[in-house]
Amino acid sequence: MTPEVQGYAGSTWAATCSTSPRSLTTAFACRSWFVARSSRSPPIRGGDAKARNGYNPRPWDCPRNAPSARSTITSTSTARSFGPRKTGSTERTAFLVRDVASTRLDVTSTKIGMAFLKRPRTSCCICLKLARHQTGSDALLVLTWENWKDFDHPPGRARGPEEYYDIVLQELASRCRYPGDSTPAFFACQAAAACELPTTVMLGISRQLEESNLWKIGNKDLLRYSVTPQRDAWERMANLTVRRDPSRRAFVAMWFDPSMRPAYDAIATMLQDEGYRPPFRVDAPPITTLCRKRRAKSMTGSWRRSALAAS
Amino acid sequence: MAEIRACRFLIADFTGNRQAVYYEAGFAEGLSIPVLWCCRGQDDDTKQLNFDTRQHEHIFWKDEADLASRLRDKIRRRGWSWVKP
Repeated sequence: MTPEVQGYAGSTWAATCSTSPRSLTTAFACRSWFVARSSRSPPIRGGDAKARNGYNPRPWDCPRNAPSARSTITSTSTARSFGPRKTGSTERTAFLVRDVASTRLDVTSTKIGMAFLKRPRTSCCICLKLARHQTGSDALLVLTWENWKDFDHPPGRARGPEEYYDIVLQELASRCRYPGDSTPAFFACQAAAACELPTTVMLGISRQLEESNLWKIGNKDLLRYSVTPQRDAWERMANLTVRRDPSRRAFVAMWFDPSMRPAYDAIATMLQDEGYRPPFRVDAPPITTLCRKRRAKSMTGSWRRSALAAS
Repeated sequence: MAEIRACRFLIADFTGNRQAVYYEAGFAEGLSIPVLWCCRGQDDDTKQLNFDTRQHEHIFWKDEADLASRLRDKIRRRGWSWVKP
C-alpha cells in the first residue's frame, strides 16, 4: 500500500488525547512537514477498490483527489502553528506515544499508538476533515474517518446509520449533570472524537436531533458547543442505558509452573482486594479429582458418619 | 471457556510463552472481553512475545509486587474496581 500522505522519517510525532477515556482521540503533531505525493502505483483503496471489497461509501467520504483536502495536508504552516515540539526525535516521540498510551488511552487507542511505532512511515493521516485545536498540550488533533479504516482494529461502534443518533445523544447528554441542565461548553471536535465521527457529521446529527425536539443547541460555536437535552432525550437515554450488571469474576491465564506461583498469588490477592471473586484455577485439586472421577469406570462410596461429600 | 465467557476481564501472563495462554487471550478478545497483557521481563522486552500480539500494551513486570501494583492501577483506572475510593 502506498500512503497518499506520508510523514517522513525525522518528523516528530507527539500524541495526546482528550479527557474522554473511551474516545479514540489520538492526536498527532508533526514538527517538520508533510508531503502529499501522488501514488506511483495504482490506488488500492480507491473508490473502485472499495466497492469491490464490499465497502459502503459513507456520506462524509470525500473524493480521493479532493483538492481542498490535499491543500489542507500540504500546508506546512498548519502543523507549525499549533506549537509543536521544538526539540525531539523519533525516540522521544516513541516515548511520548508509549507514555500516553500506557497512562491515558484505552486499548484501541493503544493499539493505534503502537502501530505508529512499528510502522512510522506508513499511513498516518489522510486529513479529509482535519479537526484540530490546541488541547492543552502541544498537539494537533487529527481525527479522520479515513485513517481509522487503515488500522487493524477500526472502532465500528455503530452497526448502522441509525445508531449514530443514539451515540451522539448519549455522548452529549452524558455531559449534563441533571435533567434540564445544559452541557457545559465543550469542544465540538472532542465530542465528535468521542462519538468516533467526523466533526461535520456529528454537528449534522446534532442539528437533526434539535429538529426532532430532543434537545436545543445553545451555542453553535465549534469551540463552545453546548446543548440542552429535553425530556424526550432523557427518556431515550433511559432506554439506551439499560445494561447487564458487570461481573465480579476475572480470569487469569498464565503458565502453571511452580515458579509462577508467587505471581499467581499476588494477582489473586490483588483481585480479591479489588472486590473480585478468587480466580478459578483449572489445575486446582478439587477439579482434578472431579475429572478423575468422571473418567473412572466405577466408584465406591462410603456413607459412614453420614458423609455428605460421598453423595 | 465458560469462565472466560462469564468474566469481566482477563489477565494474560505470557511468561514462558504458553500456547494455552495465547489461546485464552484470543478467545477473550474474540468475545470483546478486555485483556490485560503482561509478561515478566524488562521494559520493551517484546522480543520474547509472539509477533502477533506484540502491538498490545504489555505490563512488563519485575517481581510479584510490581505486577500486582500495576495491575491494580490499571483496573482502577479503567473503573473495574469494586472498591469505592
